Amino acid sequence: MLQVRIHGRGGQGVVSAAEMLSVAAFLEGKHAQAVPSFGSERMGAPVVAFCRIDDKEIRLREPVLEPDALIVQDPTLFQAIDVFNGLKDDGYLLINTGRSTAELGIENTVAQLPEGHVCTVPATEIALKYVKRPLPNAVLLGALSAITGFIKIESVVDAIQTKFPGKIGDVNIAAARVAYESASTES
Amino acid sequence: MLKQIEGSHGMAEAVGLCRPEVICAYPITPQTHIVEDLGVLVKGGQLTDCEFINVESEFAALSVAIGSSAAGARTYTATASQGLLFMAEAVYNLGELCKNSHHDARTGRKDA
Repeated sequence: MLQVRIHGRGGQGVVSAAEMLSVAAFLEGKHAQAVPSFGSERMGAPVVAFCRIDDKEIRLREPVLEPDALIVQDPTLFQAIDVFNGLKDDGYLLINTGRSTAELGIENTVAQLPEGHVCTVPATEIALKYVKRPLPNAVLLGALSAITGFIKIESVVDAIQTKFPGKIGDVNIAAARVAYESASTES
Repeated sequence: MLKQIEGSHGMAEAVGLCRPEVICAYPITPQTHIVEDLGVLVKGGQLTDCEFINVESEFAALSVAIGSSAAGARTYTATASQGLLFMAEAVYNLGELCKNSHHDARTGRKDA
């Protein structure tokens, strides 16, 4: 089973990201679930959502405590909460930032992960360019597809279209494809 | 065929199949999608012989549920967290008076 945990802040589309990821996996014929974690609901509050993907039925209904992949939609969370808690030794880390991991002060954690498992993407900037709004969620799913191969980019595209039909979906898809192409890994 | 749906939508579908005659609820996350969907079912005509009653609070929601249930109607309401707290006073009446279906979305507990 593949387990993904998404960290972000209220209003960034963390819950939608988990949902779209699960839809993408489901479209590939897999079993998938997305679970939002409800805390106090306000713009800017730290938010967590989970996604599980498996070839067989998933009976777990609990939070993801040991993720195979971690998506961090807001790098200021590194100072606020223990984002890395439970991340597997061979896990993937995807961060929405234009800065280096050293600049973020997380180079020690990053050094423990296998080469090619850490990726930084300026997802908010890409979103502002294509979507015209600071919503990095769909963009990061494109990058997740590129670095992990958990899901195909075409499935991500279909999932975005399902969730946001029409023009909003189209611009998000364009942004996700850009992130997919440019997902550069740093070791 | 497998279908992937939001839990709340699945809940609404299941409740709809129970053919409730009265549905009343006050929106509160994460319950809102359940009653939103039920509202669509009633308005769209898929759920007939059912009255969807908009109320002004959880206290009123459960009171309407108790009243309609006492009158013999199959009744449904849903709530979560503080909504259930606000229902507390009416919960005692519910236990004494009648059988209806009440669903707490956050704990997933189903009380008959």
